[in-house]
Amino acid sequence: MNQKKFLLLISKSLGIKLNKVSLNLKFNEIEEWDSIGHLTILSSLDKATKGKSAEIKGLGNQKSLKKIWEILKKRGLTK
Amino acid sequence: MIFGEAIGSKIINIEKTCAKLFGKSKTKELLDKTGPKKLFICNKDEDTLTLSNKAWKNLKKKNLNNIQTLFYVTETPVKQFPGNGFLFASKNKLNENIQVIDFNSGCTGFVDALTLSLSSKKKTIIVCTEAYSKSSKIFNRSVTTLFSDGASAFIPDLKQLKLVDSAFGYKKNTYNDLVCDINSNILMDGKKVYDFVSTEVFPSLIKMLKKNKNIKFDRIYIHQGSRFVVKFLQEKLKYYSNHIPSNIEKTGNFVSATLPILISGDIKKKPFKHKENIVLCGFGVGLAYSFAIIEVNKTKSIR
Repeated sequence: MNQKKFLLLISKSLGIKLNKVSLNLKFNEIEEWDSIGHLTILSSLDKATKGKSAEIKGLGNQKSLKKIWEILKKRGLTK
Repeated sequence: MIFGEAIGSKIINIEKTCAKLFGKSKTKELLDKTGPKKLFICNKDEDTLTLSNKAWKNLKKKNLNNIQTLFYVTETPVKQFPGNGFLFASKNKLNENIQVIDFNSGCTGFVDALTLSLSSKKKTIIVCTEAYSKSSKIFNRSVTTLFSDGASAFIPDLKQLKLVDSAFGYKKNTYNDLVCDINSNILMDGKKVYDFVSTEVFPSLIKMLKKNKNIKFDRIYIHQGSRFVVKFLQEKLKYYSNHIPSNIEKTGNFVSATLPILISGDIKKKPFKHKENIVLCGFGVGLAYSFAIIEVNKTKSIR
């Protein structure tokens, strides 16, 4: 998954336009990224990575897209 | 396996309550994650003790002479001490020479008590009862939308049930992720609980199942934490068993009484055959998990 696809996945998960999503976005910064939105993001990531992202300890606690992206990248799940 | 059950008699329409607070669209999104549209909580005359008495009455067990131990599981006892177990034993006229053990255990409580009971080989009564509504005075989207109040009573048949394997664990410094301070409200950090489920509960459960790879798992009973968590585990565990029932949408989360109520409902629809292996998976407060693989041999039943 490249960065564009990652941001597209986030926009779909949160039900917001792609132009509202950037790596600087943080949890609770917009109404759509609340705890429910967060679970939707994690669930979508899990599907996109064929179950690999759910195995990453601490990923679910991350509060910024940048951090989530970096962790996925470190694990070789994004390019 | 026969269970006595009781649930809170006050019905809360969560869908309606949430629609008023958050609007229909957000409510749909919320219920998609949490599950229950209705919850069953205690009315003002009910509590963990009265629910457990009712569950016991529903079990309709008469011959109690050989009972040696009572395991009574609750996190919301009616008194700070003594534990509900002693009140329950007196009220239900249990023999005075039994051992009464009160557990302050959450969603792992049933598996904790059952594994101890089967290991000790003592004739035991297991009571699980919870009333989170008593510790949830203000509306909290993560908590108020999930938990029902309920109780179960069960006497494991030592000839019918055999403990094959078990596994337990907790995660250091996560006790505040699902917590209720004294005279306060329940707090739950859903993100951290999900993280615990996906990175601790799931791998640890798989480890136990792989260790017992020669066994066919006829049924897996998972704690009904929330619809989101149940779906997550059902999807991941479908390669290990084709029967992983759920009742979260119909009843809500009964904490320690969840698994017995789930099993009870399931075996009414699909009774045990001659011999089956079941997996029990409890997880939650602690944060902790307790698993067990149990062989159910119906032909050996003493009932």
